[in-house]
Amino acid sequence: MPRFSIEFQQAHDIDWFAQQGSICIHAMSFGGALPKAVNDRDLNTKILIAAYSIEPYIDDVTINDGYVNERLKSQDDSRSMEERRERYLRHFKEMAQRGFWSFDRDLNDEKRYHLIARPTNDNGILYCHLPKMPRLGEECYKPEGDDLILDFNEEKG
Amino acid sequence: MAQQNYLFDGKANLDKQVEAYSEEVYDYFDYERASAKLPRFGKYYYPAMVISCCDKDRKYSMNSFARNPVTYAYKLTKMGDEMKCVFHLPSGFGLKALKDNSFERFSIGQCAEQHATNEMLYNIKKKERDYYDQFDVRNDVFFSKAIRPATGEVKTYCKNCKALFDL
Repeated sequence: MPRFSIEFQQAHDIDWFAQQGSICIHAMSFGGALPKAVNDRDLNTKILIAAYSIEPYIDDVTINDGYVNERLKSQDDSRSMEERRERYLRHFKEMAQRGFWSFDRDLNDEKRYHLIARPTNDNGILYCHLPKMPRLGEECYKPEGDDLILDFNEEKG
Repeated sequence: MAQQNYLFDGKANLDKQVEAYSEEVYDYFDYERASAKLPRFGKYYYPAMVISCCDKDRKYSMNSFARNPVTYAYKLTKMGDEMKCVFHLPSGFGLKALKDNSFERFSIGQCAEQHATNEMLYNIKKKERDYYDQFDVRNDVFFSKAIRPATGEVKTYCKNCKALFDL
């Protein structure tokens, strides 16, 4: 199965997808190494395209304000906080409106992801629109709050 | 001087330029994804970072994005020599040397800053040979803030770029 090379992973912000229980996960890699279970180039691209074919249909989305504000405050940017927040949330919010729990990679730790946005009421995604998603299984667990810690070996080559 | 990048009086304009470029990149991928019929590898994923740069006289500017290094492209301009000098690369260096000598977990030559500078230098070389000959990579190039196009976040320059451009 064709995989994303480590060089490609490091230079790109890859939207990756997985399923954990009944939750559909969308996450942004921001140059970090992908979990082995999701590093399938063709499948991931198929899911991405299928996800975009779903019109954002959920109005009520919950944002992890505490983490988002803390993250943006730590960055040196002259734009207003409101402007930066709106821009930062755009993609995650859209994915949550499509039914995904949307995560972003930690700024320092490439194995830690933070929940950014999710549907407030777990309406369930329109599974029929999506190819079968990889399961993170034991690679992923939730030791605290909204964080997702990934325990995986970096892909080589 | 490049180490006074933040004092450069054209920085505000460069920052505006990269903000607009970041939006363009975001919209491009949004469109490609939404209109896709046959998924093709590489076309649907945001680059990790984007940047704008210009020369000290503000005659040339370039927008670019992070991607895999292409050694022959760097060897076409002064960037290759500068990289060799700063990172102690062997002559005729290849991808392995760029990876092994990096100050970061990723390879030298991958950053948007390095691609943008190289593309700008290539343009200058084609259009104004005298100016190119006098061009000092460490001191004559200025950068906007570096933006993550997926989210609009601003990131600090990496260790490789700090060393290469004396930032």
